[in-house]
Amino acid sequence: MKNYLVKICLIFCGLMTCLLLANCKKDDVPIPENKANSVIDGINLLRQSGCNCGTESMPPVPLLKLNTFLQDAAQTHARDMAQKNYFDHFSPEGTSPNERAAAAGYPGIFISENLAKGYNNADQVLTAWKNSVSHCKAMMDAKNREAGMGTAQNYWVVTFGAP
Amino acid sequence: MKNDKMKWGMLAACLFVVLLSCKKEKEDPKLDNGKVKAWETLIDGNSLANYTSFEAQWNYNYPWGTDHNGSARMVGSTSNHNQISVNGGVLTIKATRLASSPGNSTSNGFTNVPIWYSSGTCYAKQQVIINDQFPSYTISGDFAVPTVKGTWPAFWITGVNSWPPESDIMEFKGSNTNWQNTYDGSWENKLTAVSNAGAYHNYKCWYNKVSATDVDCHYYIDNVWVAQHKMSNSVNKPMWLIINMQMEGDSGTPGPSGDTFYTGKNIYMGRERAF
Repeated sequence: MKNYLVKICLIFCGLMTCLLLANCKKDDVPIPENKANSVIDGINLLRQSGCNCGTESMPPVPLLKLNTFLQDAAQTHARDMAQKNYFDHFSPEGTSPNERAAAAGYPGIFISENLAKGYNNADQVLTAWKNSVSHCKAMMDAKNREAGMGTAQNYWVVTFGAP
Repeated sequence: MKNDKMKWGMLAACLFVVLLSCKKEKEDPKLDNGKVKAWETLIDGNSLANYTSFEAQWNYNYPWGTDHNGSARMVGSTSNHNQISVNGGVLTIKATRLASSPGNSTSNGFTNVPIWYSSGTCYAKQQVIINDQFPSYTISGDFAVPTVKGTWPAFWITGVNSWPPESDIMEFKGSNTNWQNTYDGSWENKLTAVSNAGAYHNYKCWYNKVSATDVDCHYYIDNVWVAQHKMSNSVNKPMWLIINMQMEGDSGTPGPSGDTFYTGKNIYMGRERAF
């Protein structure tokens, strides 16, 4: 009977280990909708209320719509930075943010891109971007009408555009 | 009995490891030298959509006037689109041979060059200035160019207050060879034969500040890297972005007797804004 229990427990442990290993392979897993939304939602909260970017008061602006093409562009870049260990708008192959948006099939006009590295959750990223005038203004730019977000490891990308 | 205890001990250890692993996911996140970067678009293909968009972002002629280093005098204004026009996202520059020369170029250093063509030029209202605030730029465009003798289309940046600096992203001088040049007091040149240059190809340069004074210029054709030049002493020096078609001069004489066309689309200028 004891041997039987031991075997059951061993199988249980094996299953748990498999589950953990599966979770470790994060990069190949699509971004959970709620994670993407949490960043875009956070930006939209700022856009809804208006905020200060540095000393400049930014008025409320229309909310961003989530765009799947921009999301593809952002996710591609986040994954590329994580895999190749760099942090830049320009890829080592020379691809620029507007080219990534076009390559993802985005039919609108690419406007801007915010990057972050070294943050582990959406709140930290949003705080860092809000504290940087240039990133804050990009988040509050009325020309931006839609956006996509990508993340891999602790790299974060939001790509903004307009239809 | 000892074996049983050992097995239970191993199981407990295994479960402990599993629990520890799970706990990691829930630990409070710690910042690992957090960094941020922002990229903004200054000019995009939409600037060629119509004259309202075009004139909001571009000026007619050279920043210094209508003449320069060849035999074409630039003609263009809000009311004259004979030589430079936009339509549906495409910029068209037309060079036309004149029946007689109206005189010589009025540009400094080229006053011995007779004018024999009317052509078109425009320059971006947005200047390029590479510094700590804007450490990286990319400038690109799709162009279909003439390659016959005497035609000299170009897409380039040059100093507003001084020369040097200059960076030529695209320049054809009467052949199918594209010259990508950097001038900072001495020239670096990259010559590339472009097959079927009369069809659209993409020409691009990525400018990256690498020191307090110097900028690296990475040149591309059709998104293939072709050269890296150093543009020394160019940090904090504003530059004009110019699209023009000169004639003759360095591209040879005589130029064509008929009309010559140079077209561009998807012109893009973007930069990193550090703060």
